[in-house]
This record gives sequence, C-alpha cells and structure tokens, in this order.
Amino acid sequence: MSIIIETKDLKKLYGSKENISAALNGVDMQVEKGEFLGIMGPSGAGKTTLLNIISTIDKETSGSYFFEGKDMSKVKGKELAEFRKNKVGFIFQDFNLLDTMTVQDNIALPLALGRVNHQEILNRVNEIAGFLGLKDHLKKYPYQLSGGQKQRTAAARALMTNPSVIFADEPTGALDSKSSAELLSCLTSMNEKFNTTIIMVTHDAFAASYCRRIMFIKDGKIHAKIDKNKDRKEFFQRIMDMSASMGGEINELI
Amino acid sequence: MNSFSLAFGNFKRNIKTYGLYIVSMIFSVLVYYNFISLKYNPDFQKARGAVDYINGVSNVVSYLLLLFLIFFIWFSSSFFLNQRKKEIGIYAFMGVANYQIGFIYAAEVIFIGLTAIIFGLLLGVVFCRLFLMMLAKAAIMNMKIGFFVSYKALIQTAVTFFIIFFINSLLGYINIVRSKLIDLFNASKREEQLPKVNYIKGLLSVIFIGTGYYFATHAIGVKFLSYIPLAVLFVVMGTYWLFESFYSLVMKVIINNKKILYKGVNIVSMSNIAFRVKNNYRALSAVAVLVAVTLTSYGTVSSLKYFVNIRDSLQSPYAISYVSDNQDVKNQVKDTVKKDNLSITSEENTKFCLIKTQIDTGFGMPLEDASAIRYSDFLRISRNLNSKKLKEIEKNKPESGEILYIESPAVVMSLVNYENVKTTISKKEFIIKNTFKTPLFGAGLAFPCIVMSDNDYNSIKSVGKEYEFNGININNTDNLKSLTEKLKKITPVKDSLYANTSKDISSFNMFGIIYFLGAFLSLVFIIATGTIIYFKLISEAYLDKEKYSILKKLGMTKKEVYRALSKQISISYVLPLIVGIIHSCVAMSVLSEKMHYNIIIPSLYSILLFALVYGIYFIGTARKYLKIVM
Repeated sequence: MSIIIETKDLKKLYGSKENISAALNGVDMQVEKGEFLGIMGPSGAGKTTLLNIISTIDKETSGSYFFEGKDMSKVKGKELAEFRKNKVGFIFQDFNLLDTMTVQDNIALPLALGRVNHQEILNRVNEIAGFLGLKDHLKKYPYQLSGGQKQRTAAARALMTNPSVIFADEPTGALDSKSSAELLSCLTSMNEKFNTTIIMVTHDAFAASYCRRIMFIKDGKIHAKIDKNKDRKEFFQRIMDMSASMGGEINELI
Repeated sequence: MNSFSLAFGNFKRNIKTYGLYIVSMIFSVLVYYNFISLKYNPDFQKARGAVDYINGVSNVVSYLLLLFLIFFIWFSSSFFLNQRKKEIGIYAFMGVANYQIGFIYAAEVIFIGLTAIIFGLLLGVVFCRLFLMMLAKAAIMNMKIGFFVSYKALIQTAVTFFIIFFINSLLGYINIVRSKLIDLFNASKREEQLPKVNYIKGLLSVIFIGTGYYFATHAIGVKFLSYIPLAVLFVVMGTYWLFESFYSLVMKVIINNKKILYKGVNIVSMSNIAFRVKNNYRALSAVAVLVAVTLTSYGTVSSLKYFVNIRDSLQSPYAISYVSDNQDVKNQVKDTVKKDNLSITSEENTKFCLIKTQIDTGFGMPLEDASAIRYSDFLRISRNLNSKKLKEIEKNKPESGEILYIESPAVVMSLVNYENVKTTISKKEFIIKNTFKTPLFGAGLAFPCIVMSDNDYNSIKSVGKEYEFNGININNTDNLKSLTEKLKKITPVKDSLYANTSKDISSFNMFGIIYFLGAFLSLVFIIATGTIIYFKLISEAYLDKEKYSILKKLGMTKKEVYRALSKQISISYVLPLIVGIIHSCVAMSVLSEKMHYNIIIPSLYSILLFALVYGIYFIGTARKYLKIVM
C-alpha cells in the first residue's frame, strides 16, 4: 500500500526565547492509503497540534511533512487553499456548518466553490446524502437538525470532493452515545466503501475502538501504537489499558 | 473602583474600538455648529435679509437637519449599545446590578457625547472658514462672508447636543435596566431566520410604487397639492414592501435556483444576503427613501443653479431694450450709441399690444397683464435669437382662436399646465395651444407674452393700444453702465429702458443660498445614510466572522472571501441606491416638466456624485469587513 502522509522529526514550538514549550517534540509517522487511524493521548499531549499541521491549518516549526510524496512546507497561499479544497476533508467537533444554508447547500459548498457544474453537484449531493442517511433532511437548516445529523452533514460535506484524507477532530465530542455510534459506523463504512483515509483525533476510547490503528501521543512524542486484531470489544479493552498505563489527566491534578 | 471610574476607564479603552461611533458624533456636532453659526454670521444675515423667505427656508432646513441628526445619533447609539451587550452581560453575570451597569453605560455615552461636543466645536470653528469658502464657491454669490466665531452658535450647539446625548444615555439606561441576562448574552448572536415570503405584499409593492408614480406624473394644476402627498405616501409604502417582500421573493428564487447559487462564491454571499433580509429591510427601505429625497432635492437645487445660467439668456437677449415707436427717438438712441464708439451688431423692432388676460387654469387666476405679438414676428425673433425651441415653434402655428403662451422671463417654474386651457382676452375666448420658455423681449418687458395668429392680432390691436419694442445688441458691453446713463437722458426712453448691466444680483443671491442649503443638506444626508449602512454591515461582519473562518478552513482563498463579501456588501449599497435613483428620476422628470426645461444634465450630475460617494463607502466597508473576518 502506498504511503499518503509521512512526517520526519516534526516539531512545533510555542513561546519566546526564554520560555519555549514544545507542543510537538519530534514526531515521525507514516499513514498508508485507506487507513482509519486514531490519535489519542491526554490533554496537552499535542494531538490537535499534530492534526492541525498534517491538515495544513497550522505550520510546523521544524521537521518535514510529505503529503503523497510532496513537501508541504513549500506549498503556500493559493495552492494551499486549493489543496484544502480538493485533497482533504474536515470534520470538526463543533460541526462548523453554515447556519445560513440548507443541508443541501452545506454539503454542496466545496464543489460549488470549485465551480463544478450544478447538475453534477446535485447528483453527488444526492448520492452522498443517501449514503449517510440525510435524504429526508436536505431542505432543512442546521438549527433544525440534531447533533448527530449535523455531524453527518459535516461528514457528507467532507466527502464531496472525494478527498484523499478526511481529518476528524473530536467528531463525537459534542454527541450523545447513540449519535456517536451512528456517526462512527458512518465513518467506518466511508472508510471501507470509498477507501477514504481517515485520521481522527479523540480522547474517547469508545470512539477510538472503531479505528483500525491507534497512535498514542504523550508530551509531544509518539508514545505507543496499537493495531486492531480481532473484534472491537477486545480492541476497546486494550485501548483502555493503554490509556491507564499512560496516566491520563487525573495524575496532573494530584 | 466605583462605577464612575469604571465608566471613564471603559470610555478611554473604547475610544479606539468604537472610533467610528465617536467620529460620527463629532461629525454631527460639526455640521450643526457650522450651520447654526452661518445663521448668526452678520454677512450672511445681510444677504439673507434681502429675501424674506430665505429666512424661512434656512429655519426649515435647520429643523430638518436637527431631526435627521437626532435620528442618526439614535441609530448609531443603538448600534453601539448592541455591540456592547455581551460585555454588559458579563458584568451582569458577575453580579453587578442592572441599574449599575446602566449607569456605567449612560456615563460612558455622556463622556463620548462631551468628547464629541468639544472636538466637534473645535473642528467646527477650524472648518468654518473652509465651509464658508465652499459656500462662496458653490453658491454663485458675489457677496463675501467673513470668518466669524459665534458664541451664540457655540452655546446653542453645545446645549442642543448635550440634551440629545443626555436623552440618548437615558434611553440606553432604561434599555439596560429592563433587559434580561439571557438577552444580553445572546444579543450579538440573534438567531437569523429566512423570512417568510408574502407574495401578495410583493405584488402590491410594485403596484403601489406604480400608483405613486401615476399620481406624481399627473399632479398638474389644482391636483398638484392633493396628488403629491398621495404620490409620496404610495411610493414610501411601496418601497417598504418592496424591500420586505419583493426582495425576499427574489432572494428565495436565487437560493432555490441551484444553477445560479452553485456558481463559485454565490453560494456564500447569496445565502448570507437571503438570511439578512429580515433584519435589514427596514434600514434598506429607509435609506432608499432618503436617497430618493436627497437626490431629488439636490437635483432640484442644482437644476435651479443650472437654470439661473440659462435664465440669463431669457432675461437679457439684448444689451439694451426700450419701448418707443417714434422714429426720432430711435435715431437719437442710435446716435448716442455711435457717439460712444460702439456699433450695433443686431437690432430688433417689433410691434406688440398690452392686454389683460384671464387664464382659466382652475386656480382662479386674476386678470393678468400680458403682451401680445403676431406669430410671424415671434417666429422671426426666435430665428434671430437662435432659440433652442425653434423647431417646436415652427411646428406650432396658432390658428384663429388659438394662442401660444410664453411665460414671463422671471418665472423659474410653475405648477400650472397651460396647455389646452381657455383664456379670455377682451371678452373673446382663446385656447392655449402650447407654451414655451424661450427668449423674446427679456426682462425689459417682464410680462408673459401671448402669441396670436396674425388675424387675431389685428382684431385685438384695434381694441387695445400698440407699442413698439426695440432691442439692441452692441459689439462691446464693457461700458454699458455709462452708456445707460447717457441714454436715460432721452426722456421718452427713460421709463422703459432696460440694460443688461450686470447679472441680476438679488436673484443670484437667492438662488445661491437655496442651492447652498440644499447641497449642504444633501451632503449631510449622503454621508449619514452611507454611515448607517456602514454600521449595519460592520455589525454583520462580527456575525460573519465565524462563517468565514469555517470557509477558510474549507479552503476558500482570501481572494474568494473578498469576492464573496464584496457581493454581499454591495447589495446593501446598490439596492437602495438603484431604488432611490428610480424614484428620484420620476420626481425630477415631473419637476423638469414644471420648469419647462430639460434638467437631465444636473440630475445626471447629482446621481453620479451620489454613486461616487457610495462607491467610496463601499470600498471602505469592504476593507474593514475583510479585516474583521480574516
């Protein structure tokens, strides 16, 4: 399988000369095409920073980052915007839907901005909305939807451009457990059906158990990696054990 | 820290943040001071004293200005208050009582008010000179208005604005005391909703505007006074509904037409606009009406100014004119001219009758003095003077029983339509075939003139008395004044002698002042309406910040963001401007008919000026908007 994301000694430093803190302190990672990767770790470990850098929302301080073999530190301005528009999709914790648009228009947004023929856009919206169970909600506005429906709309939007990678930052953070389970099975089937690479940051072991591989980060470094072997329940147990051994946030308070 | 020092601290910190609010307050004070000080300026009063009703006009203008400034300050203050609601909500959340917060806010408004008064007056005094220079240049006045600081005006402005600001702070205080914590927190996050479309109102709006236009264009003669208010009422109602329903109807169509919507940034800008219709239609329709009023009044006054120049040709087609049919007297005049080493370039001698007419316009016009001439003579004079109306005059040959009506050269505009109106001249009835504004005798014979068929003239001539009008143009008019003095010594000529020695000063002053007041008021209206839209859009920018940050994450480039928001912004400037321009075009075309003169040039000029100012506002708003959302 081909490697889609590769980082070498990725560092992100914050603060000025005397008081530097490293959010990322040398991360080497590789993601293969079609993977469903979870990134876990205690708060402040640097998982969101890592996701922001590999999704090009943020820039690394040092180290290198290759996307499909391309050095991303050299991509800037318009090319970067094009990259975000066509190569990657985003799902955020707080949905980030536009209140002024219907579900249909929200999903259509990336392609409309890309000046695709409107009939083609409508066909694709219908296809994806059908896949994610949003067909009956297309004419509604975001404020008329439940949290789960909103997040599925965001997932549909992320899928529109048929991106190489979808980045999901705590997608279940604002959802109840039932909606979470629904969304996660959607992500899983997206991953299986369209062979879309998904990279998901989460602190929720249940959500993480849907991934095929988990990368644990602590103090800006990769702490451990575990792969799913058999079923989800067994994987969930291993994730819980690993989290406990890393010593989560609770220790910091003692 | 007590509430008072908290308010003062807030005020100091906010000076930068709410710069435009303070600047608009300062602007209001500056404008009002300049206007009031003009009223007290002794030079201006001297000029004004000449014409009584200018006094009334400038009083009305000052009330209008004050009324508008009060509205403007109220609008800006409510914008300011809404911007602050979240901050106020945090105070409330921390357990500060509403009346204390209200007091802090009210004190802040008073601080801002005092700053505005002090800076406004200082700048007012400084700019007064510039203002007067503009006045002298804009108005075609040959009077000089000196620089002058009026303590009366200073005090009057300060007191007026202090009262306005005080009432404003009181209103803000009441607003805050009455508001609930939840409202304060959500004030800047009001849920926006797509408006419900009302098809009937949408249709009615167009019908209403059409009806208003009908009344405006048919407001002739007696109907004028009853039709014009009706026209205004219908047009204002129609405009209001146009923005409420018709506009949202159109936006709904666009939103549902995916072919238009899914074309680049349209999806962003159109959705935003559609969602704002409900919050914005009131302000947009108010601005559209204000634009129409401003354009029309500016168009009118600049037409008047333009017209004064044209009127010169109507007033004085000849350098010298007198009435006499005595050949000896005529020769004496010619000799006097020749003695001054001047030669006569053109000469006109025409017979006319002085008659009394009663025109049945329905206004109950009294018996009127008029001159009467033959059509053949009229045609000849029009040819010699190169009248612009020559072609029409040639087409309108009066038959027996028909006359042409030439308004007195002193008339600027009349509300009366003379066409096809019955006229009684020495007990005979005539029909006015047409009416013209064209040079004929000039101010030397300042009566309206009746042009008759040659036969009718001959029968009238036998009843009344016939005179002869003589007009002379000379090669050099520099020393016309001394020539006039010499001519006055010829006794038979003395009474009817008219020389175009200088432009008619008194009327020029009058027009100058009217023009200036109108232009000044228009300028204030343009700036203030532009600022109102600006405030509205900038408060939207804060609401849009989140939307655009999402869009940026989704890969929208800065250029695309700029394109989307300029579309979104431009509609708020362009729509009221277009509606206002259409309204004012109708109004000005009615006016043009009343003045019997084409006012396309001054109207076009004022429309362009307006569009230019709004264009500048648009660029400023787009920049500020981009800064907020990026």
